[in-house]
Amino acid sequence: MSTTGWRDRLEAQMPPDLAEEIDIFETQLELRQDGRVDERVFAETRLRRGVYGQRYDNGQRHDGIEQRTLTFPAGDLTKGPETLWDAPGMLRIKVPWGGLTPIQLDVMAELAEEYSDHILHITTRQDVQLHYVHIEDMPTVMRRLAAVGMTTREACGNGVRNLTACPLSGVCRTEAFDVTPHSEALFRFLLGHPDCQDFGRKFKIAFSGCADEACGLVMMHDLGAIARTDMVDGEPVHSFDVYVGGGLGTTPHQAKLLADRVPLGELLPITQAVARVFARLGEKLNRNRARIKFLVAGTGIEEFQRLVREEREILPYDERWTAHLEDGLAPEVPSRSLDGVGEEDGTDAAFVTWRDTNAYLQRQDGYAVVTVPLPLGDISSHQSRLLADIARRFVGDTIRTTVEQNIVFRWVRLEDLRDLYAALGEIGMADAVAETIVDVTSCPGTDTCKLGISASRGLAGELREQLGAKQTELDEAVRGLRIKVSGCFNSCGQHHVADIGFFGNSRKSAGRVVPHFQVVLGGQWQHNGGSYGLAVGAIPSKRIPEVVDRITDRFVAEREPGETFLDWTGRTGRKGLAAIIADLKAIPSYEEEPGLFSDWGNPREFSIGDIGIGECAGEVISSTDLELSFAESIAFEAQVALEDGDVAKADERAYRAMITAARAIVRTELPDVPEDDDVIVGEFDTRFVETNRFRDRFAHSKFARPLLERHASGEAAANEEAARSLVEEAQLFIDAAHAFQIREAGATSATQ
Amino acid sequence: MNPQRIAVKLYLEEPAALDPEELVPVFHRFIREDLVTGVPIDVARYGHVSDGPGIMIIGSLKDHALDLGGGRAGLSTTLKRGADGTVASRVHELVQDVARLSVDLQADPDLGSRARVGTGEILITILDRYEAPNDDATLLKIDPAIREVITALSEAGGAGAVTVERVGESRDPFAVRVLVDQPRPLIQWAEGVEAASV
Ligand code: HEM
Ligand code: SF4
Repeated sequence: MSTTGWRDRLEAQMPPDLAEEIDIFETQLELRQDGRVDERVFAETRLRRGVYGQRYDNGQRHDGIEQRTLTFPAGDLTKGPETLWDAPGMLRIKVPWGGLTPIQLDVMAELAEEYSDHILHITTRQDVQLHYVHIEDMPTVMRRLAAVGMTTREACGNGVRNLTACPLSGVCRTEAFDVTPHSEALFRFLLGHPDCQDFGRKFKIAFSGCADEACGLVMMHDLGAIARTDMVDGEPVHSFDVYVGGGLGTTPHQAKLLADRVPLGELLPITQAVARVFARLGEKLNRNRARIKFLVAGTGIEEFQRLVREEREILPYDERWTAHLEDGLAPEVPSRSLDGVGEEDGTDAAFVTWRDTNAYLQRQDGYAVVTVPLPLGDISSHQSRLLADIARRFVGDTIRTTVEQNIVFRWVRLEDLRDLYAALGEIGMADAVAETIVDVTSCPGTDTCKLGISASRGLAGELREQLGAKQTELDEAVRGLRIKVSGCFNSCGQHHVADIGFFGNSRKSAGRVVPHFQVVLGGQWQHNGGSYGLAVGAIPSKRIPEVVDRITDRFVAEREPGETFLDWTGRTGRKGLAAIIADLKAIPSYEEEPGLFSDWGNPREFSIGDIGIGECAGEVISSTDLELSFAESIAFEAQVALEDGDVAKADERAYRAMITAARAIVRTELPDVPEDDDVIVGEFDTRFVETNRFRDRFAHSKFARPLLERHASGEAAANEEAARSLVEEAQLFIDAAHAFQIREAGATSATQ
Repeated sequence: MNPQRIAVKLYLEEPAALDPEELVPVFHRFIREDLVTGVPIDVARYGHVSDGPGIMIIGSLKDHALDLGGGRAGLSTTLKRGADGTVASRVHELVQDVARLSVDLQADPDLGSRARVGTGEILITILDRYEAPNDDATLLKIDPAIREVITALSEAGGAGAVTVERVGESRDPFAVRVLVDQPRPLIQWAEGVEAASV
C-alpha cells in the first residue's frame, strides 16, 4: 500500500523531527479510529497540523430545496465534534515568509492531483491550501511535503500560525533592510516551541521591511516587526520596532508599539517573552476574547510592556536567539548574472501594459520582480508544474507567495522580461492585473468554509470578470484600488484593509433568507494596514457589482486633484457614503426578483442551514493533555513493534512513551524543562515521586518505578518478555499520569 | 498493482458550444436528483483556472467533472477511494459512470444538446505516482487490464479496432489514450458499456 511505501521511500529525505511528528499523528489517527482518543483531543491534534474541517463535514447539506443527510462510508466515526471521518477536509501548508522553490511547487502539484482537486490555493497569509483531502491521506501528504522541507505544523489551531513577510524583502526599493533571515529564524525558533503550546487562541506574526508601505500588514497582527535603520555615529544600525495586539475580526484592533529599536539579537527573546505572557495571562475560556489584542487592551500597553520586560529578564538563555546572526546574513543572489545584458525594448503594447502593471524594478540595478496573478488565488497542478519550469529558467529558487494570493518571481533580468512575458502567456498567466482593482482577494467563504455566510469567492470571481472586461476604460485612480472579500465577519479575506471591502451576512425577507454583503469603505493598505474601513451598509449579494460601479463612479466624479480614495471616503463620511448605495438595500418579493435569493456562483436557493461549527481552531485542550496523548501514540507504536517481533524498538518506544508522559507532568510546574532524559527523570522523581504526589491510593508508587528503573539502568529489555512487560508498564504509567492530572485539577479547583 | 485513484475522461465534440459555468446549476440538480454515484457532496467551480479541473461534482468516493485539463474540455469521473475488484473492473465501472454522465448531459434540456460527447477517444489516468509512475513498465502492467475492458466493450458492440498509447511526461500522472477507429454514437456506445461484463 502506498501509505507505508511513501514513508519508507522518503525516510532519508525527511527531517527526523518532522518525520517523527508525522508518525505520531498517523498513530493518533489509528487510535481515533479505534475510539481510543477523544474526538476533541483529536480535533486539536489535527488542527495543530493544519488539518481543517470543511463545509458539510457534519454530514448535512441543503440542496436548495431541502436539508439532506450525506451518508459517508465510515458512518458515525468522527474526527472532531460534529465532524465526520469520511468527509473530505482541507490541509493548510505553511509557507514561511511566502518563500517557495520550484521543487516545492512540483511536489504540491503532485499532491493536489493525487489527493485533492488538482488545485493549489494561495491564501491571504501566503500559505497554500489543498481542499477535499481525506483524513487518512494526510500523513502521506505531510511526508511528501516534509521531504521537500515543508510543514503543516501549527498552520491552524491555538498556536503560532504562518509567519508572513513582504514578498519584496531583500529587493525592495524602500526597505530598511532584508527581513527574510530574521523571519526565517523566528519561524524555526517558534515552530513547536514549548512556550507556544498553551495559548487560548491563535497567534499571527508579520514582518515588514519599512513602515510606510503595506506589504507586511504589521498593524493587523498579533505581533509584528518593522525593520528600521538609524545612523549612529555615522554607521547604519539595524533594529526592529515591535508591535503587539493588532487583529481583524469583529473587533478589529490596530497593533500598539511594544518596543522600538529592538536590536536584532533581541527579537527572538522578546517574542518568546510575549508568548509566555500570552500563554500565562491570555483568556482561555471565552474564545471570543482570547486573542492577545484583548489582553493588551485589558492590561494597557504600559503594563503589558512591563510584563514582557519582566518575563524577558528571567528567560533561560537560548543560543538560537542569535545563531542566525552569527551565520552571517547572506543575501539572496540572482540565479543568472547580468553579464552582457541590455535593456529590453518595449514596443509591443500588450507587453508594455503587462510590464507596467506586473513588474517592479528592484533595488538592485538590472533586475525586476514580476507578479504572476492567480485568479482567486487558484492555480492548477498542471500550471504549477509549468510555472515551476519557468521559474527554473528565469529566476531559480526565488519564488514567493503574496497576501494578495499571487505568486511573484524575483531577480528577473530586465533583458528577460519579454521572454518571461511570452512564457507566462503560453500558460495563461500573464494577465496585466497585478495590484489593480481587477485582482480581487477573497477568503474561501461558502465554497469550503464551515462558517461562511455568503459566497465570497463567487462574488470575487464575478467582480474580477466584470471589472476585467472594462479594465482599459477604468479611470487611472480606480484601476489602482483594492477589493477584498470575506465570507463572514471573521475577516479572513482582510476586507478591513481594502479600499473597497465586503463581508458576508444575511437578511430575512418575507420568510426567506437573502445573501448579503456588508460594504466596508476606505480601509488603508498603506502603512502596514494603517487604518480600517467604515461599514456603510449591507446590500444583497447580487447587487454588489452595482455598488462597486456606483462608488467608483462617484469617486471619479467628486475627486479633487491628487485626492486618494481614502481621503475621499474620509471627506464624504459614513453618511454620505451610505446614501450612495441606500436604495440598493430594498428587497423585492421573491416573485419579482428570484435571482436575489441565491448567491454568486451558487444557484441553490440561499440558506444559512449549512453553516457548521467553525474550526477557527479547536477547543482549548491543555498542552498536558496533548502531550499525554502523544505519549499514548508512542506507547501504541511500542505495542505494534512488539507484535512485529521487534524487541529493541518495542523497548525504545515504551521507554520514550514514559519519558514523554513524565515530561508532560514535569512541564506543569517547570515549563522550561529541557529535552534531556536525565533532567526529566530527575525532576519527575524529586517533584512528584519523592513527594508522593504521583502515588496512587492503591498501587502506591508502583507506576513510576519502571521508568525510574529503566532510566537508572540504561539497559534495554533483553528479551521479548522483558519488552512486553515494559510496554504494559508504559501504558499503566500514562494512565497514572492522566489520573494524577485529574487529582491535581480536583485539588486546585477545591482550593479556589 | 493496486491503484486507488483512477480517472476516465471522454471529450466534448464541440467544446466552444458550452460555457463551463452552465454546468453549475445542472450539477447541483444532478446531486439533488441522485443522478451521480460516489457520495456527491458539492459543486466546485474552477472555470477561472485555465487548464484546470473545470466544474466538478466533488464526492467522498468519486468526483465527476466538466474537466478542462490538457486544454481540452471533456467529461470525467475519478475514483478516489473505496476501490475494490480488479483494475479492469475499476476502469470498467468508471467508463460506465462517465458514459452515464455523458448521456445525461447530452440529453439535458437546460443544455439544449450542446454537450455532445465523442466516444472515439478515452483518456485513462492513474493518479498514484507510487503505484503507477508514468513509464513503460506501468504501461506493461496496466495494458492487459485496459485490453480486457476494451475487449468486453467491443464484444458488447461498443468499440472497433483500438490503439492504446501512453501519454504525458514522466513527471505527469500515468495516462493512456485509447483511440477507437470506428466510434459509435454516444447512446449506442453507452448501452454497450452498460451491458459489457468485465
Ligand atoms: C472563528 C473562526 C475564525 C476566525 C475568527 C478567523 C479569522 C481570520 C482572520 C482575521 C484572518 C486573516 C487576517 C490575518 O492575516 O490575520 C484569517 C485568515 C484565514 N482564515 Fe480564518 N478565521 C476563522 C475561521 C476560519 C475558517 C473556518 C476558515 C476556512 C477553512 C478560515 C480560512 C482562513 C484562511 C484561508 C485564511 C488565510 C489563511 C492563512 O494562510 O493563515 N478561517 N482568519
Ligand atoms: S471570513 Fe468567514 S467565511 Fe471567510 S474563511 Fe473566514 S470564517 Fe470562513
